[in-house]
Amino acid sequence: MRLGKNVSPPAMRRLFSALASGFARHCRAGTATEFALISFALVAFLLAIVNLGMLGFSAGALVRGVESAARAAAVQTAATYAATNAITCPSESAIVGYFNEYADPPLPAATGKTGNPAVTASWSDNGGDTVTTEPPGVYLTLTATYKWVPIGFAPFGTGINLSITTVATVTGTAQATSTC
Amino acid sequence: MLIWRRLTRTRRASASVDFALTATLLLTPLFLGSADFLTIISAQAQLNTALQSLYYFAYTNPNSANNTTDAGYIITLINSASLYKITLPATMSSGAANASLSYGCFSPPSTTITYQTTACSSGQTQQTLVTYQVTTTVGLPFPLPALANPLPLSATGTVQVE
Repeated sequence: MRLGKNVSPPAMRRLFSALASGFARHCRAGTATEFALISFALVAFLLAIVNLGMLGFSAGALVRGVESAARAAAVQTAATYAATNAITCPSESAIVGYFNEYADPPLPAATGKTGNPAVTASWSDNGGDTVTTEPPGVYLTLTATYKWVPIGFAPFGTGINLSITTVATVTGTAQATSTC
Repeated sequence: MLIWRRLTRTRRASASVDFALTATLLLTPLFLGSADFLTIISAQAQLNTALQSLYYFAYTNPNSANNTTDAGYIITLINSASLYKITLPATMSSGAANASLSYGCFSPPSTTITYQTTACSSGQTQQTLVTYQVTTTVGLPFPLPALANPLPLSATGTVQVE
């Protein structure tokens, strides 16, 4: 059928109406059409399962990295105290290095307080405890944050912030004469 | 009744109906539940890490393991940087005082250990254990009928310190 200038608008409407009702009545490729409709939900569902695993993996690595880095830094400080009788804490870059040792991979390497992941260390005394039967001690508060970004859902969000904080004790509980 | 018969007889747009049912009854609750799940596991991970901090304090200071002032100060330090506010309740859910000591007693060569809350009698070999409990509450982003909101969470653990 050829469409020319002599086809009137009502005829065009009838033609498109006939085509549309023909498509709607037709049952051929119905399964493919249904699959096309449902595939978006199916792929999203599969991606969500993968992402849930990746999220758990990242969160677990973050916890392990923080706990292990804090422990390593505390042990190093205690060992230095045993050798020199002075509290000398490892540098922030050394603590970040410990964190990367345990968490990278699967997390990207941290560089410090900024970046992703970010590692923040602060040292404090024991809060004024006056116990004299214990050696002096300090506490390391270590926080790591990581913005986790899901795979395949970028248009729906910029990621989820994960954060873990731990405290590691260095030697005793008595008030330290100096902190880091 | 006639309309109902017509609706149930026709097969048109059945895929769309399937999708609407699936999205409403399955995908949306799963998505909302996932957000709640993420919140809960994040808070529980922070609780477990706080408990580890108390363990490490107890390992390094066995004589002060039951000092709730020192243990409470560690929790204060964690709360200063944590997303979730953790508490060290005075009494644990078991009814015992938090950071309470317990003892494992045995008399070699016997290997049967008796656990008790009082120190072992003289001549016995004694293990000293300390039990901590930390708690927090989390507000769920999407409250679900089966879960309390805010949801109380806790972590309890015992370690041997001597």
